[in-house]
Amino acid sequence: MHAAIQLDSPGFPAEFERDPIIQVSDLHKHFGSLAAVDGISFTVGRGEVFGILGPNGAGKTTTLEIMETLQQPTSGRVLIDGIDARGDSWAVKSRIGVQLQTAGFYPELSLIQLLRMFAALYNVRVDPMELLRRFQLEDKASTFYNRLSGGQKQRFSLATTLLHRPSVIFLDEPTTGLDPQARLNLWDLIREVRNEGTTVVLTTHYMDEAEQLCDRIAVMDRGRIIRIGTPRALIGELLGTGFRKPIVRQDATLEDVFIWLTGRSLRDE
Amino acid sequence: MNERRSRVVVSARRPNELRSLAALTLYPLLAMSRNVSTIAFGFLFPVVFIAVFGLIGDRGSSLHLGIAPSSAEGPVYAGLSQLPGLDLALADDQELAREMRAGKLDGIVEIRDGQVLLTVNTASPQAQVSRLWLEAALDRMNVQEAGITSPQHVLRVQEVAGRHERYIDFALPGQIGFALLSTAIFGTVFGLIYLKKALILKRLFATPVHGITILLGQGIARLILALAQTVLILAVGILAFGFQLANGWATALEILVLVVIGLFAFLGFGLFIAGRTTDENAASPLTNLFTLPQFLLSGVFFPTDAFPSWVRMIADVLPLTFFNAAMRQIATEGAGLQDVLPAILALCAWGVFSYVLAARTFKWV
Repeated sequence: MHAAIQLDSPGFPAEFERDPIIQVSDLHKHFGSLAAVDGISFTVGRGEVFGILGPNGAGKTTTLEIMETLQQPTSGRVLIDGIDARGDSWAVKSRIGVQLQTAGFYPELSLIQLLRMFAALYNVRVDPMELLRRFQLEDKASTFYNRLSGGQKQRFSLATTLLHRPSVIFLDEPTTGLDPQARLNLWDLIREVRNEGTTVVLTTHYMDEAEQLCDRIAVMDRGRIIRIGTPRALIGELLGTGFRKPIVRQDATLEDVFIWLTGRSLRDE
Repeated sequence: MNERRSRVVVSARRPNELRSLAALTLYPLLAMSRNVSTIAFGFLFPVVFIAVFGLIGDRGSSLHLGIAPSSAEGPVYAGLSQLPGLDLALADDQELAREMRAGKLDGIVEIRDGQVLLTVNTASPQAQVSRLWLEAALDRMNVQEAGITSPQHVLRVQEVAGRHERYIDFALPGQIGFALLSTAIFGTVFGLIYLKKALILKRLFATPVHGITILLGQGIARLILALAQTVLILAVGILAFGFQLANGWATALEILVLVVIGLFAFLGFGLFIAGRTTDENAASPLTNLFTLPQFLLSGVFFPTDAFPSWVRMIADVLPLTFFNAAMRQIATEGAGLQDVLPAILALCAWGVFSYVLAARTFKWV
């Protein structure tokens, strides 16, 4: 078994370990001879933002989809809120919210119609307008999904994950392809969701996103988790090896310049 | 941190399958109704075909015979020219011969000393009909002139020979079959593959709803579409082209019941083809392989009687052939559902076969 290295350096939020909402142990997923997920174990604490990072093909989406009960593992165990994901997948599905990497909505339906449909599927009563207002989509209520901008689509998708007040939401590359304004806005929304007590598991290719949003991150490569820890602890570990970045003193990044020039307000309205 | 955790909401309501099914019927139906190809194949094409056939039917219902001025006199001519549905064109011999070769005339009539000579255009589908009509007309004249005492029997024979069997009567039931197969196969195959490709199916699967509820909703949505198409085709046929339902409302109801049976029989093949792949291009050959022979061989546009026997052997077992035959019996011949039970059983057999096939190969993603 390939045990993940757990860091125990200062700053590690031990409370997440004491109250786990997701427990994954020795998870394998094989597609023919390819091991997409090759024996991974980790826990996610209640209320945590947990990031899964890794290059393309590392097994991030497969891992996410097994936790979402959309794929069956070859072997291993996933507990969501104490429920076995392989056993009672319907109980799991009622407790989680899922954002897929792309779309997933009828393009010819309006946002209100889509929200009503999902409310029926989760068997909850919601006020669609209130939800849309919260995600700044109020004036798009009767717009078809395919008429939304990239940022609006991602915000709407996030809104649908929260419809039934889940304990955990899974976001697969939520900010890929967004402009800086839309990204910053989505980060704010994800923080809000976290602050309301919802656990967030997300995948990303952006290191700044992981650093900004995640309490802990797992780095995956070739189906394995090669490191888990807080961003600070992982940076600390690298520095501990004697690594030093060539020092270029830079008090601002080009992104700061971009936001300074173009402002933070959303452009896709 | 504690403040965060205190607000955790654990609300997991059991899903309500009925509410889910209603939503998974209504919203896909809304999306389908906004889809151009659904509207084109299901509603526009059949109505256009009906319109075209309706017009052909009107022209075909009258016979176009030519007659030279030299023949256009006497009691026989007077009798013929009063026949309803017979169009006698006056022209000289050369012109008549030319129009006959061009296929504009079904035949040329010559009348000499009470004898009628009919020259028929063998290329015209009306050739036999022309003969029968003229025979019937002359018989009636003979009967009248001879003063035969028991005319009822003779009259009845003449009535059958003179009945209008218009092309619309043949075409309309065929169009119901055409629209139904289009909706069941094209709609299901490309609709479902789109749901897979756009990850809509996956997103639905992330909700606590059963796969079978999703498919059932799709099926019911298609059923509603199919019933709407049928009503539209019947309405256009009846209102615009004088199509007559054999037994009025009862026939309309039986047509709709047969459409329900037909749809569920055809739907299985749609699921089978769409279930195997996530690629429209891969599904396209199989879709056409299944639908095209049925559009051509199952009596949608023309009767199957004319095919060589080996083609008929194939045509006779195709599901749409059973459907079309049953539909014609009900719509124009006034048969009841119980009279077409063999065809219904054959459709059910095809249905069971297709669902078994689909269940064995279906892939959700």
